[in-house]
Amino acid sequence: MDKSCFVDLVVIPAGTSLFSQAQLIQTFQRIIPNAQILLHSRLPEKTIFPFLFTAGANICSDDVLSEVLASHEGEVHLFFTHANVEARMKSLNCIVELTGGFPTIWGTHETRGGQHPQRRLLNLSTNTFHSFTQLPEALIKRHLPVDIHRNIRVVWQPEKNRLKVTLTFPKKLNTMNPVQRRTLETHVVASLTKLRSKFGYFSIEAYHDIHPALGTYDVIVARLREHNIYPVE
Amino acid sequence: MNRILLIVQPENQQHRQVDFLTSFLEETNSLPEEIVLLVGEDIKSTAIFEGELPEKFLERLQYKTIPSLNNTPNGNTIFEIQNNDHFLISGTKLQLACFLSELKLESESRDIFTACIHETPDQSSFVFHKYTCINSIIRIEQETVERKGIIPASRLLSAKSYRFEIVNPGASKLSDEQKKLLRSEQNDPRKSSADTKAQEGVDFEAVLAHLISQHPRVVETLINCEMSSDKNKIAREEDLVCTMENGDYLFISCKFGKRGTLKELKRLSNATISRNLQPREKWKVVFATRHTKLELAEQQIAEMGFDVHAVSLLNIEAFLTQLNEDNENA
Repeated sequence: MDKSCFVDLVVIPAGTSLFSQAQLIQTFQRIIPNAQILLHSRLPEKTIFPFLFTAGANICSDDVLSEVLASHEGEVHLFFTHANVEARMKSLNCIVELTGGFPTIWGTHETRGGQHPQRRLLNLSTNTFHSFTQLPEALIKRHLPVDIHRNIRVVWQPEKNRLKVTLTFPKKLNTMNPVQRRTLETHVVASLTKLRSKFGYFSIEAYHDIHPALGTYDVIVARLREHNIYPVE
Repeated sequence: MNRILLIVQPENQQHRQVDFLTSFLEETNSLPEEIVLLVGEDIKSTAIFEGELPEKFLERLQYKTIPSLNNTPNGNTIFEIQNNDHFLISGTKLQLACFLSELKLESESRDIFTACIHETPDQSSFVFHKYTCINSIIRIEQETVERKGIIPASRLLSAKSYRFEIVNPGASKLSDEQKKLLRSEQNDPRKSSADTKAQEGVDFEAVLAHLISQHPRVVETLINCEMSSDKNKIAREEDLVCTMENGDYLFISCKFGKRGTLKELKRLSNATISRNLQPREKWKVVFATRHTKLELAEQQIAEMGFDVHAVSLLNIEAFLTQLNEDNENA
């Protein structure tokens, strides 16, 4: 690939969730059509969302990123609000070290509450907002695991770029014995944990639909809250 | 060091932030001119900082109001970065992005030195990212400072609304029944198939807590850890939690009864995830059982590949000593 023909370079740090990676690639391709997009990652290939292989982005290690930056003369952009702090600082420092300057920093800006919650991509240098490209539901459905527990309902929320996962508990929960109840609880939580580890923790909003009239409602709710699973809205 | 900057997070995270700030200042021997707490418009109180920070740091505390997340950024500079500012990375990811973007802007117009600091995931060290900007050229230097102080488990569990009792090693004494149980395990261990009374299970837990609390490498032992629901019912109950000298935490489940070893081991193998114990790297899960069942437990752990340790009243001391040695040699 002839790197010199690219004017802009967009770096997305490792650890950004798979849905975010896919959405960021599509959005940056729309906003900066000539940009070369690099996922700064050392993940083994099998853990990469298959979509990324055909999305027009390159997955690169520390060495390759350094190599690209060394020969790059255009503007460097860094998406900075997903992934853990180590991964983000690593990408940032790599850029600073090789270019002697800070990149243009981008992030996701969300307004919460109120009547119109919004989620937009923000260029912090120019303070300009951009809408995200929404991922089609069919793409997400294709990559859902086949063995999701039958008491789990999954809905794709394109505007949030997240899955809404609801742990559904049957009405007869009240008449089940404690062991059966606990087993069901353990299995659905385990299934949710599997989804979170596949797609990334922040790709999933988790809810439960336990009826407040249930005798042990607040005890189960307290346990589920520990896993960041909340009563369905 | 000119100023320390810290973004105040919601109240349920403020105890943790106080620990972070205090241990950073003490372990790096830093006494900045100002400790600036950046308080979002939506943060209700900073009382935990005023109540828990040591006096010498309180004198240097300053407050600066910053926009709420919904209004961040609003086109203005939020941090008003000064030369030699040290930002303890806190707040949201977007707020760190705003800080760095502001630093980019500053570095283009003047020479400036700034550092951003965070903890490693296991909380064992502080990582400094130092940016020196001269003539619009930025040099980066990274430094890792090992953290010596440890955070006792009582602090971590309090933040998760657990209640517990702390065993005082100096005052801990065994009752006659408990001494009898210990002696019987030492001299003629209970057969693996022998029945037990409910009270013996309670005594077993108390004896184990006593032995652990007396170990020189253990800094804190907690018993009867309970997490209550909103209606004050017990939602979770853990037997023993202890903090080691090297900063490791032990999550110990006691089972003196004759049945249910494999079931309990399975439950424990998920404990760090199901209890969301953080930092995960620091938690070790331990299954305590009667001495005659120890071998069986170890065998099942090995066969199933569980990340669980098994102990009895007879090997607990050696186990704790070995654990520390393993860590020192690692």
